[in-house]
Amino acid sequence: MDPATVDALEVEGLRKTFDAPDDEQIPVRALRGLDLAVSAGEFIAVMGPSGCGKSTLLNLIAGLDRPTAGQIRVAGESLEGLSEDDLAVMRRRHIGIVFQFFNLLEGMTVLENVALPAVVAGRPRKQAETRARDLLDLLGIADKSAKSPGVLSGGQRQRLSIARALANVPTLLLADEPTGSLDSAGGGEVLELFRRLHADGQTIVMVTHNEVVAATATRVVRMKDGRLDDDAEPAVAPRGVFGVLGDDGSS
Amino acid sequence: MSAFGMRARADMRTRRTSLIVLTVLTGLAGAAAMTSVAAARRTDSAYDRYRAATREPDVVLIGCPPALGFGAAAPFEQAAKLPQVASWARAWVTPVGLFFAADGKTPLFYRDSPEGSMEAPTAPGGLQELGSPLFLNGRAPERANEVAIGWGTTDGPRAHVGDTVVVRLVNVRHLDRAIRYTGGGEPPEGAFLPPVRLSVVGEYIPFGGLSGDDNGLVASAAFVQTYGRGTVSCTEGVFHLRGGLHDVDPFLRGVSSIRPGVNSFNLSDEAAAASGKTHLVAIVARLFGVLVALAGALVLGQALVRRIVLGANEDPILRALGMTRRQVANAALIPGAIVGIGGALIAVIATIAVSPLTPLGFARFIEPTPGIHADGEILVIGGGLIAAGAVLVSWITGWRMAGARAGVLGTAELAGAERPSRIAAAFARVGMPPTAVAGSRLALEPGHGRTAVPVRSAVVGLAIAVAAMVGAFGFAASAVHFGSTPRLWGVDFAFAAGHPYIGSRFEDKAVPAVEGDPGFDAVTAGNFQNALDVAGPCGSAHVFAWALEPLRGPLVHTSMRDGRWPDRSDEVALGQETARALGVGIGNQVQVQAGQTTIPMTVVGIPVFPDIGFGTGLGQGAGMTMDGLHVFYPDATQNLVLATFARGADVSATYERVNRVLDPLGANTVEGDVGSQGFRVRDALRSERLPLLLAALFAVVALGTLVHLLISSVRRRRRDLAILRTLGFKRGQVMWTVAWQSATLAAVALAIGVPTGILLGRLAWGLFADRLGVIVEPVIAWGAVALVIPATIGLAVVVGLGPAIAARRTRPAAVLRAE
Repeated sequence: MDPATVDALEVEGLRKTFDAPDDEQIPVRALRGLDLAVSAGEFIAVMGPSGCGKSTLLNLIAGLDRPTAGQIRVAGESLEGLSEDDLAVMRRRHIGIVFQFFNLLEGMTVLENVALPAVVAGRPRKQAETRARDLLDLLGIADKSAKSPGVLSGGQRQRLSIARALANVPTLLLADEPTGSLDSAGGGEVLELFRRLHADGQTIVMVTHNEVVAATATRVVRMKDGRLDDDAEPAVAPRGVFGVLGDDGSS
Repeated sequence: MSAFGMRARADMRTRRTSLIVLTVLTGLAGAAAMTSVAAARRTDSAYDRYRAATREPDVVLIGCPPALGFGAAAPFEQAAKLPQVASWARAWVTPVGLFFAADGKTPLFYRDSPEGSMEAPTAPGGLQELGSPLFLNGRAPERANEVAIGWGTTDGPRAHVGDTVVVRLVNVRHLDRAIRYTGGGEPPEGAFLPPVRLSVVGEYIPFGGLSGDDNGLVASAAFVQTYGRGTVSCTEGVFHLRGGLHDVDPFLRGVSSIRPGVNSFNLSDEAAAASGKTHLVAIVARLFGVLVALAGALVLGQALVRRIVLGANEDPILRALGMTRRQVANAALIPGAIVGIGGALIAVIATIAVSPLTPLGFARFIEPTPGIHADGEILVIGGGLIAAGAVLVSWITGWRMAGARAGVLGTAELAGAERPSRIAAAFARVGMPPTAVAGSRLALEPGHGRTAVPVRSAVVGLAIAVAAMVGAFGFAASAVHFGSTPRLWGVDFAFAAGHPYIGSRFEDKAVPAVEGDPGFDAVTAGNFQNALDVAGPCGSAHVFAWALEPLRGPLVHTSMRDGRWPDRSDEVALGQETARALGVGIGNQVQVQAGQTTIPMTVVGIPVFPDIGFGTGLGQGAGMTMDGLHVFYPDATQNLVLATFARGADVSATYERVNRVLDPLGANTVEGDVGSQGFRVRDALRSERLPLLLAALFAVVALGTLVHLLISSVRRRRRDLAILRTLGFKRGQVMWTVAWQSATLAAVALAIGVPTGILLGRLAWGLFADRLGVIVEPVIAWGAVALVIPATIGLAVVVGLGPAIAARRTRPAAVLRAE
């Protein structure tokens, strides 16, 4: 199959049902047959209210959870039937994740946080560190490389998280509410980064509940009750939005 | 560096201190357990090694001039041709003589008599020809005026290396005068040769000297040549047998068939006495080691699990970064390997370092190779178990945690995080103060994300420490009860008297005196001197037999653990240890042998044999009827009498009457009270100190666990405490919250630990008493339990003060901003 013709991500009929919590009788149907295709180089925002299944979708795409039914293909490779170890290898090759709460490894330095995914993927330590330094430089936090993540500001922590997600040159950059824990300045920095990465050809799938943040993307899909609600271009122009974001990320 | 190495470095960077503390504690606990077990093995094997190192003989035949009246002349040459003999040598011995300290007046060995004996090798090989007696100080005598003094148990004036002693040997011309001399006052004119002054160059343990008094001197062959003329002496034939002590009976029968009435002594008594002294200490040490190992494994294992769980909250992040579950789990091997391998190394080094303090008790005295000792088997197995155990625990915990689901914050959620504590909910329902509700929640709910604390393992660790403490008190209480209850160690009679070495005089005089005394209502006579070989499906044992026959009233016998005392000649009762060694129980048949006679006998009971200073006793021995004993020893006489007092009898008057007969015979009497314990029971009671030591140790461990838990909890729960402050808690209330947290943990640990500890204490005493072969009757230390409960909660609150004060100082704004 020609890589150029293959979608970066294909999702077909995806369903996910969680067992009922102890005190409830009815299982939770988080996804109810979702279809989605993301082309290489696309920057897509998945929007929807809380509890609509956005984070579940991201976890399934990253292979951190298994669907109840349906197909997921990342760079043409189906995740169906892959073992836990195979999924881990798939993540090394294709997936970079940016979390809302950063999820940095507090015991490691900034540089080690970024180098670790490449080392896990089997690159020599020196090479991984060189790549990590380049990324930290690119993201403007090279001077913090020997520090502990605990001393960074929120924006710097999320930039570090993005640098770590890019360590293995992933096919897909998955971002789960990347500005959700940041103030307007921090959020602006992160979205500007995403825009630059997209301009460089990085495929990005970003989950957010914020219209203005979603406007950064080239395509916005909306989720409601575990399904795609519609498939539309963003209503707000992607340029020059950062200045109008409020402290809570809303306009 | 691999991802594994990066993770290891990060782990060491953040939590190095706790890792070092855990490693050192593991090493010390391992050392305590390994040292105890190694000491038990060294103690248990001390006598066998002593015999091997000293080449102690098995039998000594004594040939004296007829005028001394010491039995028939020994047929040494013919005896040496008996098939049991491996080697033999001659020694010179003077059985009578006067021995003084340097002043020439003070008796050397006894307070009121200068009597004693002296021996010397006459074979060309010197003392080495006889064996290599263990020298406690100095060396063997070589010159004519040198002598070595034997170790004895008598508290008399003694001489040591460098001192001078004065010896007066018997004058052969006036032998009759010397024999008549009983040791008091001036010796008869001419009965003894002029005094000879000799230098003490060594102190040694005489062959056979471990079973009791054996005071004497050993001189050189040069002494015999210089001073031996003109005195009377005997010759000892010192025999080493091919089968060791097992060949003693057939060898002596062989000698008897060559020439009846030859005087001899053998080392069976010493072997029984020495093994009795060392075996019990070994049992206690082994039990102590096993308990320390178990408690250490449980408490420190829990601590290691806690550490790994605390360090695993980033596992879901690592998995999201592409690490497989196995890779993530392997990261937990790092602390496990450090604790395991480091702990094992510390344990091995410490065990070797303290080995000069072993073996224990009496065994230390006879240890042929004192000093540093490395028990390879224990070091390898113990060190291996520590290392493997820690690595295994780490890996299993790591694997479990690597599969933990991520919470909303992306970090691992601990088991039970989603379930609120029922106790805390109950507190809230009944209107307990908010500090109690919040404190109990902090104690019993693990929390979420990076602030989560593994509560379950902490409660389990604390409960184990409490259980071990209560169990140790229970063990000690059972030991005290045992010490005050003669029935439990076999003395189920009011009075006993016996003497194994005065032949028929006991039967002729002592037995009728007791039988005819109106102060007793039941009187039983018997014999406790003879040894039998008993064989069962799992092995054989050489034991002393108690044979009894009722003279008046019902049979008086020793306490029974199970079954009954034999009442037919083909029945036998076996001590618990003996029965276990043979692999038999009540109803089974054993082969009983003495000399050429072997007959099958049925086991009908498991008695406890009182430790009366002869033979081994307690769980070792055989009981039978006198008729049964006569099958093996037709000439066996009554040398033991057991009795119970008549109702209303004047006990002291009864003693006075029978002692008028017994005292002149030198018979030992035993009264059925706590004074009749014997050294094995006294040794067992010393074990009472060990559990108390253990209780103290576990109390410290429990406190340490609590402190560690509170400090780590307060540190990790700073955010929760800060939120409480934002909700209106005053600083004092935050302190009370931590106090409630501490008290709740202690209360839950007590609720689990106290009943478990009571069961453990009973079980441990049961095992110990069972190994000892005595009657198992554990008791519960209610007093200690009543003390432990308030003391633990009180201490928990006191111990929680430090963390509580730290929590009181929490500045909510700073904490919440940082979080």
